[in-house]
Amino acid sequence: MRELLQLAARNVLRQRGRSLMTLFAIAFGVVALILAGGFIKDTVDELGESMIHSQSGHLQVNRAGYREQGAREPAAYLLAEPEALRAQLQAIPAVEEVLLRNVFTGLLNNGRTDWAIIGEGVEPAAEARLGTYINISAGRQLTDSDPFGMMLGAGVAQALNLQPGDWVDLLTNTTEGAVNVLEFEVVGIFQTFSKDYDARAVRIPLPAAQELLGDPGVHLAVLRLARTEATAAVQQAAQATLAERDVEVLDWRRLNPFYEQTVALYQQQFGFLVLVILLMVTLSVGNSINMNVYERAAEFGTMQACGAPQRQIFRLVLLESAFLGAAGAVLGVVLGNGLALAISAVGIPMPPPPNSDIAYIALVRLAWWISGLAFAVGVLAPVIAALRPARRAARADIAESLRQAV
Amino acid sequence: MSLLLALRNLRRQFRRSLTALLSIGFGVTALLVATGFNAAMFEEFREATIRSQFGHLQVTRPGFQERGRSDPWAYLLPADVTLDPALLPSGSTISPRLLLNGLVSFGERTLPFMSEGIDPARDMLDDRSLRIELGRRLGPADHRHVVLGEGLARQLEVEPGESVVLLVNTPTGQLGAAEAEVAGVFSSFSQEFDDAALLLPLSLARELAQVEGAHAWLVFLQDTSATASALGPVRNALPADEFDVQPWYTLAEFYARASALFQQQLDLVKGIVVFIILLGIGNTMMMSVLERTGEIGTVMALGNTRASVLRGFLLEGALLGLLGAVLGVLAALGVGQLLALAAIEMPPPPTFARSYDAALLITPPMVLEVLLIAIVTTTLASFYPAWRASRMEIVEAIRHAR
Repeated sequence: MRELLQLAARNVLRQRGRSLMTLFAIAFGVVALILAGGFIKDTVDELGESMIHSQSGHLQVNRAGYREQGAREPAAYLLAEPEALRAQLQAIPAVEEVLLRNVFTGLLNNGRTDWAIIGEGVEPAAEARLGTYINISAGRQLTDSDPFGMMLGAGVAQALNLQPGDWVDLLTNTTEGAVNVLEFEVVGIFQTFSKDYDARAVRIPLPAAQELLGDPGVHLAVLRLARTEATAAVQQAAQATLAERDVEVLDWRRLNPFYEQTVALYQQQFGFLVLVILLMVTLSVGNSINMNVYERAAEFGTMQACGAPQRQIFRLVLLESAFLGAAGAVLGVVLGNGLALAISAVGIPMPPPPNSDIAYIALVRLAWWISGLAFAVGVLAPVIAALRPARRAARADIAESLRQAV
Repeated sequence: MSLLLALRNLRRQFRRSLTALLSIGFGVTALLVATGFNAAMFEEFREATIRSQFGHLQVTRPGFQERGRSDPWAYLLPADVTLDPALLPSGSTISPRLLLNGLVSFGERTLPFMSEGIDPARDMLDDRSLRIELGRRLGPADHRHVVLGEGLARQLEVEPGESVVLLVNTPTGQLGAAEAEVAGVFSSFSQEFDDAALLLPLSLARELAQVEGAHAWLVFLQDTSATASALGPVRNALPADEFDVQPWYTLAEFYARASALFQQQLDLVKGIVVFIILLGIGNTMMMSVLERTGEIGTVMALGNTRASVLRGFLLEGALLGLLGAVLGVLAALGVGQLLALAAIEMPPPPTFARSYDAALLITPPMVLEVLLIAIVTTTLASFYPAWRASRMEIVEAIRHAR
């Protein structure tokens, strides 16, 4: 076997010009995969972080059934003993902070017309620490010293033509069903990565929301973690700690169906790209391997005449292709990762995504699985391409092959 | 003559030409499938956006698009549509819409809503504009009827046949209220819309708000591609200080951005395919030249010029590209037929509320584009080998043949 390996390596080196061409085709495919994969990974990761740090947090705890029924009967789905719950959650390792929120729907009035909103009562200082991906387009963040301050999503502000400093009426139902109105001062206008959210979202301090709803309860406990990767572990720990209570713990993927849909779309596209590159490289490498084998008929004939079995010829051709593939793939992986680092150092300025107004800088991220997949494609493509020529070379008639050399 | 020669040379090396053809053909198929798939998806998306939200053309008061939602009663259009239908292509309809926000109650529950008063005889007529999930759509005879978005109906726990109460502020600051029967429940392309939206007949919306006019006149054309040509006459017919006319493509911002993003990704795939074809075909042509050294020497010894040798190889490359591309186009058309038969349901793209069937939309300009790409790419790839062939030393080349 060792001899065969050596022979294959020597054969590859012997035909340097042709091998180089093939090598480049393979390496190019591998580089393209690494760059495309890294770019997609960056887009998806960045989307996830922006959702965590503008709306949902890493995990949310709410009463079981709140997601399905809560909009109808908000009062029935308040969390019992929120401060005790907060203490319990805070004790889990990797939990940085626990934020309490309540959620309500209402109408916002600017004196001329109404706009349907989804409101959140929040703890301003803690929300500011969570919301690192929120862009304040006018005014400032809500602080603990604004008892009746309000932050508006950009879409709400545009729809009602409001600026910081304006006063608005917020009309909601109390938990008993009566209608309640409070006046708020707009302190800031924010943009997240989702225009749809910004078109309906309003944030006011938690005490003001509790006064408006006539109820001191909260609906959600939102967890901010030190690292996004810890989400699954903390979720399990939280579920174990809270097993006594009638609550559910949801992670940010569940809370953001938009993220899952986007990931599915990108996976679909990346899958298509992998397939295209695999087949394109196979076909274009196939040609040169085919030619190569055809030209070396005499050589193979000689080998067989000297007693080499058909198996060995078959293996030799496959091995040569695998060597070529491995060399091309290594070259591609090195080049691809190097290029990815270089591109990331500069950054790719991207226009705002379709559902947002915020432009951003994209990077090309490195990941083991991307390089691994690209490498596999690089090795596999020439081996697949060599299967048929290898078989033909092995099956060739010895006498015919030898005659070709004359 | 030289074309025939090129063709014969290709046929002579049948096996090699075949692999080259396959690789070009596959590249072309991949390009067409990707382009066609995107085009089909965006066509469906575009038609739904136009039919449900924007109309092909939208006539409003100037300034309504920017500030209208914050002060809706300041931007009312006249009660009667003053646009002459004769200006539009035949089969077009003009349909007024009135925006209305307020509260909707059912039993103990009250929720805010955003609504549009529509003309049920002309607007939201088919599944492209409004998919009815339960009950029925609004009909021309309906007055005290509404259809609710899926999310809104779920939150109210209301079903078709039951009655809800609508409350709105009128322009004079009074409260307008009316009872209306739920005719149906709809789902649109946007979840956020379905959570807060309802549709009601224009007559009921006018009665509730105690106004006469409308906020927008939507012009629906038979054929979306006629939008640009219909825009001019409509703009000319309506005085610009009183009316603002916008086509759907300036209004549908999300659509424009999403399609630009996808276009970018497609260009990337195109770039990759072109580059790999370039490398693969370059390789093949180079080998072909090296092998035929003797033949090239003989041809030149017979008095053919270097230019004609160069042309010959370039022509071979171009022919390979053309034949491969034709093969690829046929394969892509086949894939399209298969997809149409298989009716594969694709998961809903981001922000879409519903799935759609995978399909390919392959248009003549697309086919022309890939044909051009293939021919130009293969010709380019043949350039260096062809040049090498034409620079050969005649004597050396002939000696090579022995």
